[in-house]
Amino acid sequence: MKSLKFSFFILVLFTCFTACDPESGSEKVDFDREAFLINMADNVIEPSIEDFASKAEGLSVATNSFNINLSLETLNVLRSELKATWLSYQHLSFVHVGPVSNVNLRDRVNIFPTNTEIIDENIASQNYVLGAASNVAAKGFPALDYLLFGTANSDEEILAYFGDPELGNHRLQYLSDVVEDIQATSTIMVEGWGDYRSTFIGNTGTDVGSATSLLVNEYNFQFDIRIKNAKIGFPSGGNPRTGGVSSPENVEGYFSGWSGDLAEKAVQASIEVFKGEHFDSSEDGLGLDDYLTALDAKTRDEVDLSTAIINQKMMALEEMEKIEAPYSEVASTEGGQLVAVYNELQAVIPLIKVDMTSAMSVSITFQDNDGD
Amino acid sequence: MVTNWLPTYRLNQVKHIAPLATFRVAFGVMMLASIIRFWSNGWIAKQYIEPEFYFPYFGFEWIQTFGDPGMYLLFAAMGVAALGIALGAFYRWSAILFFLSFTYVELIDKTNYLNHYYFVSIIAFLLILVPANKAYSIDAWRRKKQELYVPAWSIHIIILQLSLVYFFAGLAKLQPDWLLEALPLKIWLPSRANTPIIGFLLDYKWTAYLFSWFGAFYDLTIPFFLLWKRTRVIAYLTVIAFHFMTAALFQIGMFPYIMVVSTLIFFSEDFHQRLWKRIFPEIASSIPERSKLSNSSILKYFFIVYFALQILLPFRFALYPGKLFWTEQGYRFSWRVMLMEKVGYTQFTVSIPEQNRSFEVLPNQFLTPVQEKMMNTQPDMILQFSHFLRDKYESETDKEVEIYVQSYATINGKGSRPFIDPNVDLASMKRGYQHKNWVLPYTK
Repeated sequence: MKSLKFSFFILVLFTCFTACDPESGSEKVDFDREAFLINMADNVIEPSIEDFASKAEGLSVATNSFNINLSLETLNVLRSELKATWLSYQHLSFVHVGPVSNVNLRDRVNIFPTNTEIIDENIASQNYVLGAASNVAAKGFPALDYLLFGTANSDEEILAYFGDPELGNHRLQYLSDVVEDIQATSTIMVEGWGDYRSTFIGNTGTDVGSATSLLVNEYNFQFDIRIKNAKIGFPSGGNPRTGGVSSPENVEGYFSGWSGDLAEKAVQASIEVFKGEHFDSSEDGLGLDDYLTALDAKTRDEVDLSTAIINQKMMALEEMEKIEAPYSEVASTEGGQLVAVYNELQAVIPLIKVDMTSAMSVSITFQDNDGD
Repeated sequence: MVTNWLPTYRLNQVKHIAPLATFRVAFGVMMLASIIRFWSNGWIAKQYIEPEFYFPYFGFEWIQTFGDPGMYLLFAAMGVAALGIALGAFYRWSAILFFLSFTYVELIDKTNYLNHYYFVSIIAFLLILVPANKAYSIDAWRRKKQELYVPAWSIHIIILQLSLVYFFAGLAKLQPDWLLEALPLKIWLPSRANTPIIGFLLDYKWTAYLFSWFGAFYDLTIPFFLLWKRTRVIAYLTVIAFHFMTAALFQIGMFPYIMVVSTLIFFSEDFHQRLWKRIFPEIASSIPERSKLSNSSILKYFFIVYFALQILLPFRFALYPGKLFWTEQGYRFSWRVMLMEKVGYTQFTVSIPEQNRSFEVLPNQFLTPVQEKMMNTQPDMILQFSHFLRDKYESETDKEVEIYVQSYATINGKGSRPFIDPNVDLASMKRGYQHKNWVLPYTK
């Protein structure tokens, strides 16, 4: 009797499986999580670290040449090496996992606005430890941006700044120390990656500390806090409620005027990482987008979530491409253009921080949870 | 017969103490283990010492953390009390101390609310009322007297409470998302596909349906199958299988194990007596005596009120307009377990009109990641944090401060949508049990 009832129950269940969910065609989540992590590891993260390291090496070589021979030519080479490394960073900062996170890349090489007073003091005193917490805004790319573009008004004067008979050597020393710190960071990342790779691809779950959880949380942090807020929000006056009080001096690359290039590169990189695009060949590998598609994640309007995320980022890029001048100029004259960028970027946030994390069900804690 | 069950329930019937004593020991040991686990995971500091701000319950703002070393002392006291319950040593005081210390800790921060913590609190409360230490205990040994018979109600109230927990958990699952779409399990199970052995099954949609339907059926019926002698053994095996499965799949800590040992109380007096006889063969069985607490009508009315409240509380959500899962008005303390996958995002803007100044505040400056995650989906917590920001900036600037939020949330993967009205100054909204009309309606 009991077993009869039970069979009936099972029958009812199976009738329901086949009848209740007619519109969703896929019967399972068909996604090779390990292949996804291997793609992210081998075709996205590792080449990104390698690229950053080779750019940092170029930056170091150019710094040496500049040291030996102060000329407009060596200065321009140095500047372009700086830009190349800084652009490379925009990609790497989206995969802030393992050794990248261990060296705390974001805070170590790209805290802006840079503190020119501390830099000047450090140079004057010659007594500084770049690793100290007090120097977090006196090193990295923003410090180089100041040293190579902001220390005087013309290229000749900048050369004179470094050629100064009294202080020139101290200034060159500081420049070299900052560059060396960046290069040392890249060396640690390159060396650390090999060991971390197996940890990364080994945990295909979504618990705290799993590769997917780390990737998603760091990706979202980078996009929300370091792109939307830092690159656009603060200088343009932040969100609409901050009343449009702009602070142009807060842009990334304030002295070089590279703010637009760096920010556009960052948003592009965020799309590439999202799609799992091979760093070297732009071939479309297994990425977060494919995972979302396999999970059948949709927006409120029943649009594929991965499509919605990419489209919204493209809209932000479109707004960014309309801006020709450095963001500092835009922020001080017509902030509206930047607010438009801000709004497009802001529209990405719920999609990645709410919909994506929910669909993947990534954890942020080991704490007990009964799902309420 | 069922209808006149309550009036004819005789408070003076007696039962052998064995089931109650087993329950006492099992519960005490589980609590002690939970406290040791909590402590060794570093959660005392993480949850009750390190945070800068806590989310107290409305009306319980006076409950605050004792900091370091106060919280450690409180947990130590709680551990001693749990041991006292298990051993039946200074039993009533142990139960009172355990109930108060445990409940106090739970009331510090609603971030950490779990249905199973609520369960522990009310079981501890019920344990204060029952004479679970009359035999097989340090107290009985000290008194040199084993009283083997206790009022039957002292066992029945625990069985009834356990049954209510299961039944309401099952009732809460009878809704379209759970039954027709297998949500949220359809989202959660694939994320556990790396689980050993059964992991590969979790990617299949039918698994989510099977688990959903079985879960609802289990919760609704397990108390009855446990009560009925003929199905008891198979039902208990199901209890073990069910809870171990949930333990393997979800981050729910000690709860599965607590339920596995608690439900032993459904077993017969004989079963438990045999158990105790193995441990204390020298304690001879005696003839049942009439309970001294004959027909105490105070107790009777107390339990009528208590269980009426237990039955009504889960339905209080009906007093509020709007979608329960969205507003969460009347959501807690209702045995809604593992019912929804909800994620939110909140951006806080502090506005100081007199200074013509507005700025964004990142919650992670003040909140732990778990606090922020919990707040993002629960309107009452968003309001509490807004008030914290209001007070902080008003005292810093000596000016009136307004707080606005941009927030989004999604339930069961149905897509993020605006959550809180961005045009409402939350600084001026009151806390309390009234309807929160600043939560935007849930729209398709």
